[in-house]
Amino acid sequence: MIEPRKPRGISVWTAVQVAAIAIWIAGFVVAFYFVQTYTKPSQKAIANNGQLAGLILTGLAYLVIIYSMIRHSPDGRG
Amino acid sequence: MSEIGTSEAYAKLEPSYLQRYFPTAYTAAVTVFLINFALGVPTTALADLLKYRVAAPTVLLFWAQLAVLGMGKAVADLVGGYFLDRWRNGRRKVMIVGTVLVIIGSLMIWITFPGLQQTAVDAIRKAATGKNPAPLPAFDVMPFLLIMGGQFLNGFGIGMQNGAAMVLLQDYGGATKRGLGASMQKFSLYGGKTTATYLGALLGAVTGLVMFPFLFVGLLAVLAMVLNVVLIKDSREEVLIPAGVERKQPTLADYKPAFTNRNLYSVYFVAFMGKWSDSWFQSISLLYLLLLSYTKVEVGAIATAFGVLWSVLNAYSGWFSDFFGRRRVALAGTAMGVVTPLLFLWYASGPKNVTLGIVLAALWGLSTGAYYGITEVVPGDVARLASRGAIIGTFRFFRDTGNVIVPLIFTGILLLPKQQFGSEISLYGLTLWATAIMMLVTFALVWLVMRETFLPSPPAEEAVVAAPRPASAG
Repeated sequence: MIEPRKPRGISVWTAVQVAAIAIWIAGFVVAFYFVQTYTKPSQKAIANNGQLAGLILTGLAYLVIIYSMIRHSPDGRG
Repeated sequence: MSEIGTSEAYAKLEPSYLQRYFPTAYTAAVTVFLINFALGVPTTALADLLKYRVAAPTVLLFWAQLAVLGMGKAVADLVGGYFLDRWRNGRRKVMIVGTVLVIIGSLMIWITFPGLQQTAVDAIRKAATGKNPAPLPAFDVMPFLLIMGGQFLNGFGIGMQNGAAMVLLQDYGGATKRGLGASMQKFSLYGGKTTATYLGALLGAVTGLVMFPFLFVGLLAVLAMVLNVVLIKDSREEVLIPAGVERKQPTLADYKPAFTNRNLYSVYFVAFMGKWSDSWFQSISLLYLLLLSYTKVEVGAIATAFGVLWSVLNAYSGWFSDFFGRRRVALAGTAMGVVTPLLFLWYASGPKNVTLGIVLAALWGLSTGAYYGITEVVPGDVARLASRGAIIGTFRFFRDTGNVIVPLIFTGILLLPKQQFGSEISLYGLTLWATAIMMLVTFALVWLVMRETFLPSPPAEEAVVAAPRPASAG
């Protein structure tokens, strides 16, 4: 009997994970951009909100990365 | 030739349990993130407070900030590792105890000065460092002792939580996905720490209260504790014991491989060098680049590039080692680790270029993540399933002593006479030479001493592949 071929190509979970890693790194870039750009005391609120936005991005991306790490690897062999 | 832990896992365990125990595996990773994120938050505020408001002597400052947290963590690795194997439901209980200790530790620190404004500390600092420096207030002993005790408990708690989660995730990784389990813990740990550097400054800026971040830490630790209590199922009780693994208290004989196994010796050293590189970027790179006329923001960007790449690679190197073997990944990472400090030295000797600095720091983070990510999986390959907690705990103890020893080595190098080496900048360059030489020794150790500890496919399948084919008919 001919064994069915293993599916090839990038799986959904691989794509999700790559996207999440990109967002995770983007979160740091966003936070860093706001800290570096809005340095005057009058711009403190903008800098804080920008940092918070970056932080939320990294936090959410982290949750997706871990989720996809488990989902990407089925319990069976192979 | 694989190690006993690998072959025992193939004989007794299923390929993996991570999806079947999804809520537990996911929660274990998330609570590691929460605790490390929490404890990464208040570091800068504490340094300032101890120096100017508590007016602690310099020697005590060193112990309070570095050694107490580091020592607490190293001791917890051993104690936690022992109780992981000794207690019924040990993995679950040690994780919960770890989060409770962090709650107590952070609240002990918070109650020292709950309403202290950052502006008050700034005023003392300005007065003490101005043109006519005013004397610092008298050494405030009680808050100092509370902070020391709190830091020790925090270190102890974080060591227990991280170590138990590592063993639990490797248990659920079954026979073939221990590297993936380890990667989830490592990515959560360093991801949490790196993210926290931004939150610390943000919380201080928004509230204006120096100690508020510690109250925040306590709340995050409560969240982690509740998640652990509600969702963590003990991996030994759920997976190992039903598979026929013996339930026994660790004896001295169980610790013997930790001192006699050549592969463990090798990864102790490899992991120590991971701490070395991290320590270089956390402390030395900042001073070095400031001396080379880089601004604080530029220095921060270069150091963050190392941290981000390191944590991303930690998510993959253990996992990839499930397919390529631990030794191959370690060889590739340590080989890159020899080159990257020398590239950084070449860069530091040239004209100012922030982009190149970010790229080279990222490359260094990539190489460190590659070799560091596999180190905690190797003790899981070596240990018998019944004594996995003891062996991984001992490995973690030796590795975490690096948190205390490495800064001492760097201090020793920087105290060398400047005149003999040209200038202060040359001494910083010397730390890079020392890093490259130590990495070369590490690479040689992995190449010459370490053997592969894991087989990507079960021994039986290999035997089938290796067996001669029957002669074809006719």
